[in-house]
Amino acid sequence: MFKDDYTKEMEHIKLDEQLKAEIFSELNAGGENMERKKKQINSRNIWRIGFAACAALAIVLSVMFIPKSGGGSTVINTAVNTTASSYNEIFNMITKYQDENKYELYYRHSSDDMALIDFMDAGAPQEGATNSNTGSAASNTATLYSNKTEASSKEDFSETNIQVEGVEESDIVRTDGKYIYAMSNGKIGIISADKGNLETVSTINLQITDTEYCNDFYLTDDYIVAIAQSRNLYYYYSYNSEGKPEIADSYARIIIIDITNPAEPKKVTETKQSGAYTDSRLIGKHLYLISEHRIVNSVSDIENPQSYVPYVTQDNQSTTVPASCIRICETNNFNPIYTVVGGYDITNGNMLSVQSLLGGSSTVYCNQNNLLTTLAYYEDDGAYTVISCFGIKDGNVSYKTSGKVEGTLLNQFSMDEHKGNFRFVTTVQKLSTTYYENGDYSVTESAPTACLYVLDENLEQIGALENVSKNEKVYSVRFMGDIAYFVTFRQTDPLFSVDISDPTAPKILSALKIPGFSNYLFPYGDGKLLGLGMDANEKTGRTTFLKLSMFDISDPANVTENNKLILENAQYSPALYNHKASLIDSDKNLIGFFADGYSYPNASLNYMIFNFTDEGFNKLYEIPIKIKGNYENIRGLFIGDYFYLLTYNIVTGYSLEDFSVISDTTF
Amino acid sequence: MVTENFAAKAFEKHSDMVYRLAFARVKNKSDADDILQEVFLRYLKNGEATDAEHEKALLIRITINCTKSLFKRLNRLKTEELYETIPAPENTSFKTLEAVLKLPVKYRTAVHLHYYCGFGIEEIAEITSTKASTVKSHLFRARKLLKEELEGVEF
Repeated sequence: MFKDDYTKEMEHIKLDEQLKAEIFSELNAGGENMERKKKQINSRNIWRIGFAACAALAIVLSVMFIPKSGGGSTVINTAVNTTASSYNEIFNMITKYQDENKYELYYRHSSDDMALIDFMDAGAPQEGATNSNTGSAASNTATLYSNKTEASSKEDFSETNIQVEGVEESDIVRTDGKYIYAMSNGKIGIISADKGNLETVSTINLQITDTEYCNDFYLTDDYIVAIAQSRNLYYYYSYNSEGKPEIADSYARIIIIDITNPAEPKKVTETKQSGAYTDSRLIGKHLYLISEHRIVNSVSDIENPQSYVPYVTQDNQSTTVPASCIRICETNNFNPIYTVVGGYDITNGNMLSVQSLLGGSSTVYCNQNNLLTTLAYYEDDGAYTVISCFGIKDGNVSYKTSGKVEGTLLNQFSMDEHKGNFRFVTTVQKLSTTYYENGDYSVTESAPTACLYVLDENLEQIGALENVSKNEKVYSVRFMGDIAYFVTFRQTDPLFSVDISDPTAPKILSALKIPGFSNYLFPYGDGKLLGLGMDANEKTGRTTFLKLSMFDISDPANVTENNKLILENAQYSPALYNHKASLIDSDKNLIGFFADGYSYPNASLNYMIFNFTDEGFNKLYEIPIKIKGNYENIRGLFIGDYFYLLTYNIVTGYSLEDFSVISDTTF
Repeated sequence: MVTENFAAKAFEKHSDMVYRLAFARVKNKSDADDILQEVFLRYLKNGEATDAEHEKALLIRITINCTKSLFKRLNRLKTEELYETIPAPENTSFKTLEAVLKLPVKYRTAVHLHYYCGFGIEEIAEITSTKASTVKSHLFRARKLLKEELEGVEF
C-alpha cells in the first residue's frame, strides 16, 4: 500500500542526532544563540549516473547548461549567437541532442519547483481566486490610446508597481478611476466604483480550460488583453502510436476584448504563442510576449517543423518562426529550449514580428527600447547569467546582442539601462571541486558576494564592482539614475548605495548596516527610499517579523534609516517577493499589503494599510481576511478617497477616512 | 536540572515530523536542517499553542511558510541524490519517496500531510488555509500521477 511504503521510506529521513541535541539545548536556552549554519553542497558522485544525474541537477535550475567536460572559464566572454541557416540545421542539432541523451523521464521532470509553484498556486478552476493585479492604465502613453467617450476620472487612483514608466506589466486587477477590472477564476469582472459603491456591470468569461489558468491582464482605454497560459503539461501526457509518451506543447493564449462599452465587453480575437509563458510587457498598443518553448517529445519528422520549432497560431493557422529569426546560443552545452519573443498589435491580435533564441529564459527586463532576457547556467567555477538583448519598437522585435555576467540575478529589478549602458547586480558564489583519491569528489560553494556590472550597448563589460559584501546574498535592488541601491544580508543588512555616474568605475558611496533586510525597495518621494522586508536577530541572523523601513537617501553618500516599524503580527507577505502584490503610492501616501502572522486555529491574516509622516510609519487599518484561497492574489487599490480590496472574486469598498465598509460586490 | 521551555518540549515531540515535512518540500537535507531550526525558533517567539492539536497544526503551518520563503529566495532548489545523502541499509529502496518528490510541491505537501501525518482533507484545508475542494483536487491529481510513476501502487 502506498501509505505503508511512503511511511517506511520516510523513516530514513532523520535529523543527525548531534544536531538534534544541539538544537534542543539552544531552544531550551531561549534560542538567542542559534547560529545560522552555513550550508555546503557536499555530494559524492553527484553525477553518478551520467546524464540522468545531470538531469537531476537540471531540475534544480529552471534552465541550465551543464558542463560535460571540465574547464570552465573565469574570463567573461560574450556568448556567441549565430542565426540558424535552415530548419535542417536545427533539426540536426536537436535530434543529435536527443540521441545522446536518451533519458526519457528527463522530459517529464525537467521543470523546477519554483516554476511549478507559480503554475500550481494559480489554482484549479474550483479554487477561489486567480486574480490579476490592479493598476491604472499608464497615462503617459496617452498618444497611443484611442479615446473613450467617457472622460477618465479626475480623481487620483492607484497603479500597478511597474519597473519602468510607460512599460506596463500584467496584473490581476486594474482601475481607470471609474471602473475596477478584476480577475478571478477565469473571469474578469468589470465593476463600477463610485465613492465606495460597487456594482458589477459585466463579467467576461475567458473560457479557461481545465489545462489552463489565467493570472495576467492589461488594460488600455479600449481593450483588455488577457494572457492565459497552459498548465505544466508535463503531467498531462498521452501516448502516441509508437507507445512513446507525448506531451502537448505549452502555450500562452492572448485574448483581446473590446471594452469601449464596459457594460458590453466583446471578444475581438485571440492568438497563441507556443512555449510556457515567462513574462510580457505592454507599450502603447504593442504587446511583447516572452515564452519558453521546450522540445520534449522525440523529434523524427524533418518535414514537420512545428514539432521542433516554436510557432504562433491565429485563426487555427500556425506559423512557425522562420529560421532567419532563430539564433543559436552557444555555451558549454546545448539544450533544445527556445526563448520566444513575439511582438503583437493588440487592436487585432496580429503578430508583427517574432524572434527566438535557442537557450532558456527566466527574468525579463524591459524598457521602451530594449528587452533583455536572461539565462542562468553553471560552469565548473560557478553560476553565470547570459543576457540577450532584443530591440523593440512598434511591435517589431529584433535581436541585438548577447553578453554575460557572473552570478545570478535576483529578479527584474536587478537589471537596468541608463544612458546607453546596462547595469546588473548579481549574487556570485564560486564553486570549487576537491577530488579524492578514491575517485569521489565534493563540490563546495564559497561564500556569496554581491557584484555590480556595467555593460555597454553591445553588452560588453565596461565597469565592475566585485565582492561588495562578503558572505552575503543580494536581497533587493533598485536602480535610480546614477545611483544603485541594493541590500545584501546574512546577519545584518548593508544597504549599499553605489555611484555609477562613471560607468567604468562604479564606487560605493555608503553602506548602511542594520538588522534584517529589505526584499523590496521603492522610491518614496524626495530623498526617501522605502524598504519592505524582515527584521532579524543581529547576532544570529534569524529572521523575526516583517519590517517597514524608510531610508533617507537625500545624500547618497550618507544613507540613514530614519524610521522603521516592526510588525509583530506579521511573519510573511507575498509583497516581499512579488512587486505587484503591494500597494505603494508616495503621492497618496499609502502603503498596503497582505500579511500572515502565525497563529492557529484563527490564522492571523490581514491586509494592512500604512502611511508615513514626519513621525514615522502609522498603521491606518488592518482588514482581517477570512476567506480562504490563495492569498498571493489579494490586492488593494484606491480611487480618490476610497479604498478597495480585492479578495478573489469579491471587491469591497471602504472609506479611506475611517475604513468603514461602504459596499461590496461579487463577480 | 533544567526545566524545558515549551518550544524545547515541542521539539522533542515533533522534530521528526517537522523535519520530514520540510524535507518533502525542499527535497534536500541541508535546507531541511535549516528550516527545522527556523520553525522552532519562530514557534518559541510566537508563544505556546493552546493545546497539543493546535501545536501540531501550528508547527506545520510555520513549516510550510518557512519553506515558501526559501523557494522564492533561492534561484534554485537543490536536489540531492537520495541514495547518496540518506544513511540507510544497503538495498533500501526509495522508489516511493522519489516518486512523491517528483510531484509539484503543493501536491506532495497534501500527500505527505494525508498519508504520512494522517490528516483528513478538512484538517489539511484548515491548517494550510486553503479550500477543502483544492486539497481534494491536489490529492486526486497526485494519486493519478503516482499511479503512473509507481506501477501497481494501491492507495
